[in-house]
Amino acid sequence: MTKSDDDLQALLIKAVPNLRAFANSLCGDPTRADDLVQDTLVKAWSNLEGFERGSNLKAWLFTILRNTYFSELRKRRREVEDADGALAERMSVMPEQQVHMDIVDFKKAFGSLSDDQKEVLLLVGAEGFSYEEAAEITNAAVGTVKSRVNRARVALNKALGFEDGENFNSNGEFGSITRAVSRG
Amino acid sequence: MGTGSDPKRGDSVTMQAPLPVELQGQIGQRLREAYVELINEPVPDRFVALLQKLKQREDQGQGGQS
Repeated sequence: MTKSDDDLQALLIKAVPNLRAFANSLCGDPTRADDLVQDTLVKAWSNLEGFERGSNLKAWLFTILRNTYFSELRKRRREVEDADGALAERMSVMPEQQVHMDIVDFKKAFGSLSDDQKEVLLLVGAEGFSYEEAAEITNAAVGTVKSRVNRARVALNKALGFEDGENFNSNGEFGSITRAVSRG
Repeated sequence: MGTGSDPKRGDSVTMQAPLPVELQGQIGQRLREAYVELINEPVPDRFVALLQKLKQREDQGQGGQS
């Protein structure tokens, strides 16, 4: 695959909707998400030699995007000492409200996850990458990815209000909540 | 339901036990719905323009090679 290949342009363009969805879900800011996607495309283009033909282009692009995101995040954290405060501000988009299992609340609950948790849940749960691919993309061990996904699901479940700290741990309660969720 | 026997209170965040499969399915479905909504957003022109620009620069830079 060469840079003057028309196919390459088409392949990169084809990946843009997924890259935008991933970036948007990760950082929660559409403008920044598009900047991330743009940086990713430019980096991919100039490092095309580093891409092994026949391997997964989408996984490669996702790797570039998340590396860009996390290195920017580290830089910001160094610049802004009050990084936790800034992050918390970014995440508390909406006031507390009743928890319903609708999309808006789901997004809010998702926004409350840590970046590590969001990332693996998006890669495995939303994009459909295998645990192995997600491990490669995030430069982590497969076991680490699996346990992150598991923690992310538990945290998301909690944020959605299916577990209020009491019912979940009380004997028997959780089962009834689960049934209520899955049957209607 | 095997998850009902967690003896500790207030330890749910660090708890390793996986969620029941049914609940995982529910969460997974919501996640995909929200994600697909994002994927279906129209792609801004700037990305097509960007790739065209990169390619043009490449073609010019490489002289006669196409």
